[in-house]
Amino acid sequence: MINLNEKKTSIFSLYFSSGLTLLVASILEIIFSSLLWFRLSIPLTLMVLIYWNVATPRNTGFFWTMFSGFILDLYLGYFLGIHVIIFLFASYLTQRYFHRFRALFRIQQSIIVAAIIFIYQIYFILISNYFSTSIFAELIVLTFISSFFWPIIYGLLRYLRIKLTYGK
Amino acid sequence: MFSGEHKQTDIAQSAIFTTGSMRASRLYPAIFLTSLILYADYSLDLGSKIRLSISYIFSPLTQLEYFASDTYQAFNLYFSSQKRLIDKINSLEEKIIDLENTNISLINTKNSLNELEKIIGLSKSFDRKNIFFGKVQDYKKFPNERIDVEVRTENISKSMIVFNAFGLIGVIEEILNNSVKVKPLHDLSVKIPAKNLRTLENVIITGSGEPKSFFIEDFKKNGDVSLGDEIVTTGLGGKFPEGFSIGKVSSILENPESNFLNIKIQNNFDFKIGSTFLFTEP
Repeated sequence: MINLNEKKTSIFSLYFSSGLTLLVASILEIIFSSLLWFRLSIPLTLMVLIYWNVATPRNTGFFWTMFSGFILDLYLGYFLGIHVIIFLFASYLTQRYFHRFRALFRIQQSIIVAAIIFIYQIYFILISNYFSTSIFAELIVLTFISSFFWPIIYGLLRYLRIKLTYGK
Repeated sequence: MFSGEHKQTDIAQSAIFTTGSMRASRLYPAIFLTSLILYADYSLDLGSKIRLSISYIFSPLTQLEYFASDTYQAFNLYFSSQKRLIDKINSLEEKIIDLENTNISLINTKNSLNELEKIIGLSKSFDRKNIFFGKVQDYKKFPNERIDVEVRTENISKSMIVFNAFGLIGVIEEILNNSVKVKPLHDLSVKIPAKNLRTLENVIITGSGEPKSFFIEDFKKNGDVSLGDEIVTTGLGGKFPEGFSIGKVSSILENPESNFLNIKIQNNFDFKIGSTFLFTEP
């Protein structure tokens, strides 16, 4: 027999855990962007956001999306809302098409994620007015590297989600 | 088995044409709010003010980083300075040991030089004679007291006598390849023609078998001898040179059953002292 109270608790913790992972990803992204010599960064927050929107679309609200976006804007020196807007669009699209995304193989998912990251980076190149050969090289390299990060992030967050949902 | 795979494929195929319940209208409030904040930041520089406020609020945390950094540096400095000090102490201790070894070596060199100086001074008294030097290799006490001396000449003969820095100390017993065996003067088999420097009476000195100690052989009871009389070689017989001190009379004992006195002579220089020996013809 299902205990409703337990179910509520697990959803509650999942909601905050997803927020916490977004926060951690934002902090890591900020650290990486200050450590690396690239002008662009590895969009860990975006990948974590995609995961939670695909895995638990009903539990991932816009609050954490906006919160993590504002943190990135504040610490990476953008106008407030620049990250938030693209995160909101990414959330919308992933929540809209999560069934299709889930049905894909991991490698196909990686390619889709790489494509999203590619668009995301171009968005920042356009906003920042960086147009040079090196920035396009960075764009290609970081997109390629980020696509390798996807299976790792997917595995880690999946493990965490299963732990929090089923407790095993 | 195959039915399970078909089921999975069916789910995947149906999922391709499925969309989530997410509607764009749910996004509008968030987009509106974000646009408002973006506009406010653009026109009122809201972001800078928030960054300033955040840095002010979190300044203790920033200070904490510096505090941690300073603490780490102080901690590190303490141990590194302590380590430097320990290294320096070890280095100085090694230097002290080196200096002590150098000092010992210099003392040995000084002693050797003094010894050589004395031997060379001694050699001046053998103006027209061939002299040879040898380095002491080994000292043996059993079965008989002997010293092996390394020599680098073939001109050593068995008739030669041996001096150290203090004086006459022995005779050659055996000549080997590049070395000689030296027998001490106090050996029981050695007999030295000598005289009492006070009375000029000739005597025969024999070894006692003990270092620094000799006897006068067959000295009659009515002879003139006193404690402290100095005995020197006479050079008679040609085996020992003339005028070298053997020692001084240290005891005179009278034996009622014998016509001779038992006279003991002692000197101050030891047979085994020294690292360089001098060989010459008597």
